[in-house]
Amino acid sequence: MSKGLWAPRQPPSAWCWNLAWQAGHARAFRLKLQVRVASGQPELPPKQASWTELAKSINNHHPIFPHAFNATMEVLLGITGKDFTLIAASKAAMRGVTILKASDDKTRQLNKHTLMAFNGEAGDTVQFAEYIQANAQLYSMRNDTDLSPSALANFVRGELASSLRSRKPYNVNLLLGGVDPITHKPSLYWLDYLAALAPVPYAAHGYAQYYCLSILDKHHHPDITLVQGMKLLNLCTDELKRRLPIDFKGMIVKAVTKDGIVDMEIDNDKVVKCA
Amino acid sequence: MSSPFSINGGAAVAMVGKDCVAIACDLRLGLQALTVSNNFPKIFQYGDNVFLGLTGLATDVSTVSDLFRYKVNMYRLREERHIAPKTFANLVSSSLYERRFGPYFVSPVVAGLEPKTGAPFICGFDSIGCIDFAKDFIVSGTASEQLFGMCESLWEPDMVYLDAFFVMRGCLLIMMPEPRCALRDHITGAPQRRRPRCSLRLGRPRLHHREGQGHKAVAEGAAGLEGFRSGGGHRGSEGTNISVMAERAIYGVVTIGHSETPWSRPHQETSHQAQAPWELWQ
Repeated sequence: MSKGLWAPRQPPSAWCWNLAWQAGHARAFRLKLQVRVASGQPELPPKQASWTELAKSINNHHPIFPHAFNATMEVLLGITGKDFTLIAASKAAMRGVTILKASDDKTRQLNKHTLMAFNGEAGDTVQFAEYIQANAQLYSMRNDTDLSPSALANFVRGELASSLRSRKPYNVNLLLGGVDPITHKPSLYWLDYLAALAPVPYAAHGYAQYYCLSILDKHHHPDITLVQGMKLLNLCTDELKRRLPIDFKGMIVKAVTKDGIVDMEIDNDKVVKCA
Repeated sequence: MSSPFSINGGAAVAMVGKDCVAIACDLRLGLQALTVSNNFPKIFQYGDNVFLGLTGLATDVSTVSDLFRYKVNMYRLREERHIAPKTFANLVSSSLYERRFGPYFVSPVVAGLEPKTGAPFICGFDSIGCIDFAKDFIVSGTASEQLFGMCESLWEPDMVYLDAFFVMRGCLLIMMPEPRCALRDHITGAPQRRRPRCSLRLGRPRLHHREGQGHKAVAEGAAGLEGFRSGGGHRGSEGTNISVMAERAIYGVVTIGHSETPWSRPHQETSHQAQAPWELWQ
């Protein structure tokens, strides 16, 4: 069969020459491919596979776990009270089913009165959190005043939202807790990797949401003290230890108050038996 | 369920009455079946008498509402007047079509009164900006089928604004099931054991009074607005702005349903919550 039939050199008519030209070439290519496949030759590999593409394809087609596994298994909790915001994060740094570290701190302090906890894709999390942290500190240095938690939450949302529509979005879920430096009002913001922002009295991320939100619905009250807040947090972590199929290696707990951010003691060695 | 339009859930409805419009939305933010927040308003104000309801992907609701706040603020600086609903509808349409091949996943609804005539105006859009003008009502969001049913049966022409309010309330309450449903669960996007608070805004006919009269009632209406987050930004905290608003206030804000949390309901404690809940486990 003559080649001209499949890939015409001459346009058949002036007004549709481009379409016909391309269609002819596409047909010729398909034919070549069929010949290759029929004769047992492998298909030609793509011209270039970049490292990022390769890494992405491995991550997306992991044989055991989807790449979102970390984000759902890592625990983030936040509770506001009368004059404080509690932020808790699990200590396990995971890759697939393997725990790489049992003392990971998934929080960053943005300024004196604001703390951010994060989980998500390894690499994205710390990169994004420290980018936000640096910008918050730059603002504080330039203006001799701190951004309020609500201002920071909206800044973070803007950065995450513009990243969402970029070539490689950050895959990070965040809790942003703070106490307003002027009014001393505690606040907590829930942000997911899609940059949906919601102010909430208490929040969680990942599978912890399914266990903890109902407990917090029942027992939370906006006027609780820090001691009561820690008791409430213990209710949540006990339930997680009881029901989550993995050991998340305990929690790091920090409290934001008007005097700054303090580390809270929590008994991570407590054994909770499942019924 | 994995459609970006139905991940977060939500519904909005706008309706025309006699010389008035009403627009309402639910306040839920969810992740499929899980309710994350009951404090996520989807109606934004962009002028004296222009409201935009946005349902769909929550991140795009925020992004698009912020984008229009910027665009409308620029319009007001340039033109030194508020934007009219028809103008705003065309702005929404062209802004959405700019993203024809990578759209914002929102279904907007515009409601307002024309500034010169006071004529009611509502319209809806698809996510790429095709305008759907309507004389009666517009629904959008994950409960749009249910809202269509309620609107078809309850809406009638030339409702005065109180009637419009009650019809609107009926439309929104139908989305919410009995209090026995699971707390963090949903069917249509809005339901919840404690009904999520709905925000409902009514455009009222222009008050025909001479200057200096009728201030009190209208000023109360304007004061009631202070608690709401407004996209308009024209309403400052200064007293003068309030009084200007009072002269031309043409809307009221009504909150229906229960508020977000049980403790802000004063005299509705159930028997097991008579004691403060956190004392039970102390």
